[in-house]
Amino acid sequence: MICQEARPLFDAHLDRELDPATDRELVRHLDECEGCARERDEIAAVKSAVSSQAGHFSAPAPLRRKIETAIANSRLAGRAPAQPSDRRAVLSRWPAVALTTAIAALLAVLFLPRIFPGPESDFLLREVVAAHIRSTQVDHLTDVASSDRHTVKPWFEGKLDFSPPVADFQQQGFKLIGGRVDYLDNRAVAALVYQHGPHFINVFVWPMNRPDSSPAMTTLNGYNIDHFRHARMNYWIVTDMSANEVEQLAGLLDG
Amino acid sequence: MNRTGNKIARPVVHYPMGTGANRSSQAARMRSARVWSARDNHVAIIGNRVDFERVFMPHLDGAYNLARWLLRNDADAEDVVQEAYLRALRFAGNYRGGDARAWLLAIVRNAAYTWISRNRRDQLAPALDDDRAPEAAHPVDVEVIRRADAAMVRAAIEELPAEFREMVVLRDLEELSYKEIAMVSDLPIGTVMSRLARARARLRAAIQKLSAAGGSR
Repeated sequence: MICQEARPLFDAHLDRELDPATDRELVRHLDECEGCARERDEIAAVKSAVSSQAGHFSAPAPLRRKIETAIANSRLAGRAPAQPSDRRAVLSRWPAVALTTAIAALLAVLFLPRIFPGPESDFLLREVVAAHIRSTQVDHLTDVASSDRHTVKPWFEGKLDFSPPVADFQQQGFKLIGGRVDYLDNRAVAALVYQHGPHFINVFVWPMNRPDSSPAMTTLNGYNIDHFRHARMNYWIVTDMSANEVEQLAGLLDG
Repeated sequence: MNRTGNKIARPVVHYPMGTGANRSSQAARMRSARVWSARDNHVAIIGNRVDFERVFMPHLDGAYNLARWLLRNDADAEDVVQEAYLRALRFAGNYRGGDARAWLLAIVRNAAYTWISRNRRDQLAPALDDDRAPEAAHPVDVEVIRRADAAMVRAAIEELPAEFREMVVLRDLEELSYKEIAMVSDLPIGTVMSRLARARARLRAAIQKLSAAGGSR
C-alpha cells in the first residue's frame, strides 16, 4: 500500500469500519511510514477532542413533557393496515383468539361424544371415572358411613327408585365403608364404597333391563374399571387398586 | 399514507449533490452494507402509543443533540425536535422494525434541514464534491489538538458546514456506525466515509487556527 491509498482510510481505520484485510494492509503501511503514522495520530487526536470536549446536549425537561403529552393525546393515525405476517397484530388480538379456541374446545368436549357416540359405554366410562375421582377429591366418599349392610341398604330407600344389592366382603379383604347417591348415565345411581388396604373402590350400581354380561376390564387415566351386568343390575367398579384385586371383587359381586 | 411515510423515512436532500451520490473509489474497500435493510422486515411493531413511547422516547436526547448541533440554538432545536416527534408519531405505522434510532434521527435531520433551508439558507455548503480526497494536510502539532479546550473544539465544530458537522456529531457524539449514518443521512457509505474524513481534516485546521489565535492573544 502506498501513502496515496492509505491516506483516505485513516478515519475508517480509527472508527474500526475497515474490513480486516484492508485494515491489516493499512497497519503494515503505518508501521513503515512515519508521515502517515503522524497524520493518523492527528486525526485520532481530533476524534478524541470531539468526543471528550464537545459535549452532548440533553433534551430540556419542558420539551420532553411536551412530546410525552403529544404521544398521550395521539391516536397514532396513519397506521399501515395489518398484514398477514403482522405478528404484532395477531398478538394484540390473542385474547379473542384464545377465547374462541377455548369455546370451540369446550363445545367439542361436550358434544362430540354425543354426536359421534363411540362404543356404547365410552362416554359413560369417562363419567364413571370422573365420579370416582370427584368422590375421593372432595372428601365426599360416603353419605352414609357404615360397614353394616343393614345400615347402608335401608339408607338408599327413598333416595333411589330401586334397591341396590349391598354386601360386605370384609372377610375377603374388601370392607364396605358406606354408600352415597351419585348421578350417572342421566339417572341417580347407588355408589357403594369399599376399602381394600389403602385403596378405595367405588361400585356404581343401577338397574338395567338387559341380559347379564361377564366382567370386562379396562383402564383409563391409571384407574382400573370393570363393568358387568348381573341380575338386571349394571355394575361399574372403579378403583386405583390392581386389576387382579378388581377381578376378585368383581367375582364376589357377580356371584 | 405509505408513500408519504416512506418519503419521511428517506429525508429529502436539500442541497446539491454533484457527483457525490456515486460511490467513491475507496468505498469499494468498505464492507458492503445494505442500507435500510430494516425496510425489508415487514413487521410493524408500533401498535399503540405505549409501543411508540417505549421505542422512541429513549432516543430523545440523541434527537435533541443532533438538532441542537445542526441549528446551534436551543429554541430552534426544541421546535425541530418537537416537529420531528409529531411526524414520527404520524408515520409510526410505516416503521417496520429495525434501527429505531436511525429511523427517528433521519426524521429529525430532515426536519432540521427543512428548517435551515427556510430560515438560514446561507448556512448550507455550496456544492459538495464527495469524490474529493480530504484537504491536503498541513502538519499539525498533535499536542496542539490534545490541549484544545472545550470552547475551542465547540467553536471549531460550529464553524463546519452542516453537512460536515452532522457527520462528526453522529459518529463521535452519538457513536453511530457508518451504516447507521448512511441510513440517517440517506447517503452511500462511501460518501459518509469521505465526508467524515473531510470534516475531521477541517476540524484539525480550525483547531490549529483557533489555538494559534488564542496563543497570540
